[in-house]
Amino acid sequence: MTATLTPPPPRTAGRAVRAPRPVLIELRRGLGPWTGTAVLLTVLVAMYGKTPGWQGRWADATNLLHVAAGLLAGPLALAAGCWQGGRDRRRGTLDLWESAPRSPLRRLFVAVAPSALWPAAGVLLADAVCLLATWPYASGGRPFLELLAADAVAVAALGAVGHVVGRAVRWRLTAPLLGIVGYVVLGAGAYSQGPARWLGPAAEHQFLWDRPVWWFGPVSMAWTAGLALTVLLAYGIRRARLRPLVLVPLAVAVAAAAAILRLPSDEGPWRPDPALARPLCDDGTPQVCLTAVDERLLPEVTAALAPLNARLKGLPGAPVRWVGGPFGPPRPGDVELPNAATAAVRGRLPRPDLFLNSAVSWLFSDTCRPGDNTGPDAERASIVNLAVIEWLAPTPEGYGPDTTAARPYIDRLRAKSPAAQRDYLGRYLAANTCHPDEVPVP
Amino acid sequence: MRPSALLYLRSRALPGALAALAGTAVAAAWAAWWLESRPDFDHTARLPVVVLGPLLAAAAIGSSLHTPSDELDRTAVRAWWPRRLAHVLAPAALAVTLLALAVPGHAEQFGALAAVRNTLGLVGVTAVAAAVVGARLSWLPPAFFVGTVYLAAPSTPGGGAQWWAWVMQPGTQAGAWTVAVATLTVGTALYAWRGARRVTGES
Repeated sequence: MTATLTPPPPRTAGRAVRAPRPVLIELRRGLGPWTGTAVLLTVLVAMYGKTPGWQGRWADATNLLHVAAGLLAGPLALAAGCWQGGRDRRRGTLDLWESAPRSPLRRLFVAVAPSALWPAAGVLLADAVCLLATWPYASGGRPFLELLAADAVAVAALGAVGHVVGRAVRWRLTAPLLGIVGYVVLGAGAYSQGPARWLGPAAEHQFLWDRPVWWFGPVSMAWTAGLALTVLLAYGIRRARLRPLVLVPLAVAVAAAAAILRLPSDEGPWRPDPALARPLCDDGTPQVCLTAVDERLLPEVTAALAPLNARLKGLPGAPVRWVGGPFGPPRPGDVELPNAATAAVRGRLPRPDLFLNSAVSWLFSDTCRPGDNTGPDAERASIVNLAVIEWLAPTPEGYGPDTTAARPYIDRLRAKSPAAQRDYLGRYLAANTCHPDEVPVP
Repeated sequence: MRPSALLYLRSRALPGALAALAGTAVAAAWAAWWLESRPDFDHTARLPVVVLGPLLAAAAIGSSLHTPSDELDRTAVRAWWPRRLAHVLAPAALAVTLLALAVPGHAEQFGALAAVRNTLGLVGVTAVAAAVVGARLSWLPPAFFVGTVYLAAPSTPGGGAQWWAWVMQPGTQAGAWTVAVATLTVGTALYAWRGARRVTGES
């Protein structure tokens, strides 16, 4: 008797083996994953190069991510989508696609998926990394997630439009040319004036105490997604009776654009947020007041100003408050502070001596009228001013003006007794430095 | 011109690429003039022109490196490297000349020197890309590089940035020139030696 070797039944026997979904295959292959990686790296490298400028405030981080997504990821998605769109023509599989038992529109959406979704995923991942990097150092406010989502939709829309252009235009240079044209158009749109700039995905807004109106993010998404869907449907629908469907996303896009164009041309969707501009002060004398946005910097700024405040405490004419923010009309005794967030790196002031020097310079920079600061004593008054600044907060090496001429006055000020120094500083604060003859000589 | 040379030019679509170079130079000249004539701008606003113009020129040269008959070409008895070398360097020389003329004046900033350097360097990057990823997609690596460094480069020239963000530097930065010339040398040599990568079942 001969034994018959029967292969064991496959493990999937009894179950229907489903073929992988075409869209998943499309997403895994081709240029899509590389485009997503390129977008991610482009945004992250751009953000890394500007790190000290955005890592302390949600508004700065959101704004720079928005610009990087619109200006860098957008053109890249456009060019890569265009290349992906011409793939089937290059490899000669157009007829094969036509033979598939799927509608042309469905086939188009499957083919477009990598061009749209991978760049959007790259942008979202870069956003997540940068927001996590901001989290430990930011205080008041929140990241404007709805704007970042709108950026991702805009990048996806650009990838989809690029894909359709790549399908329609048969020319080797279409993809790079489209990318460069996209860069020029998006860049010009970002820096133009007028309400139309808010239609572009790279329009910049750098005022830290504003927030966008609640509907701006969703409406921006409707604008870019509606436009891309219009292009896709116009290209993909072949049956004449379905053609009017193109008008639906077009109408949504036009309505969204109309809403955006009605915004004020200068501030666009941005409105002041009193909660972000709320002053937070320490209990020192003089007080140091920053906005809620810079709450975490308050101890650093207080510590940097401590040596100066110790000299100023109780002197007539000394500042009552150091203010760093838009707190309305200045009260008597208010003195403006240099921008603490610009000087800060990851929630700390790396050069407190430089910040102190800037604060002293601002304290003694009176706004003079034409005709002031003239006369025989003008030069001496200017040198005395420099000497007082240098005495209170020495200029760090490599910064500020040459202090050689002021050296004798600086030496004299340092040689005085504490009481004499205090007396001189009181007289100096009481003088109007715009009138050189009033400036006391040390 | 010999018939074989004419056939070579046509097979690489070089007339179209040369026309694209001329068009790029005209567009760059207009953009440079327009930017400089804006009320708030001056000659330093020509930075996008000396970066994007050479990028498009390099893309045009790179896409012309594609051959539709690669296997057939490689059976030829003649050495290919002289033709490949000429194919990169001759259009590059034309692009350098045209783009230098497109941004006159202020050579020390973003003028002819920067345009020439960026064209040479980006043609080098494109030639490397053609040898590594194929000629048709050779525009993507330089576009990715330019996009990455455009915002990341510091606003003050010099320092370490002249080595990694050389396309963003003013025309007189020695480090940026070194990188650009080295890239051109490596790219041209690699392409002349290996030719464009043959890509089958193109994705």
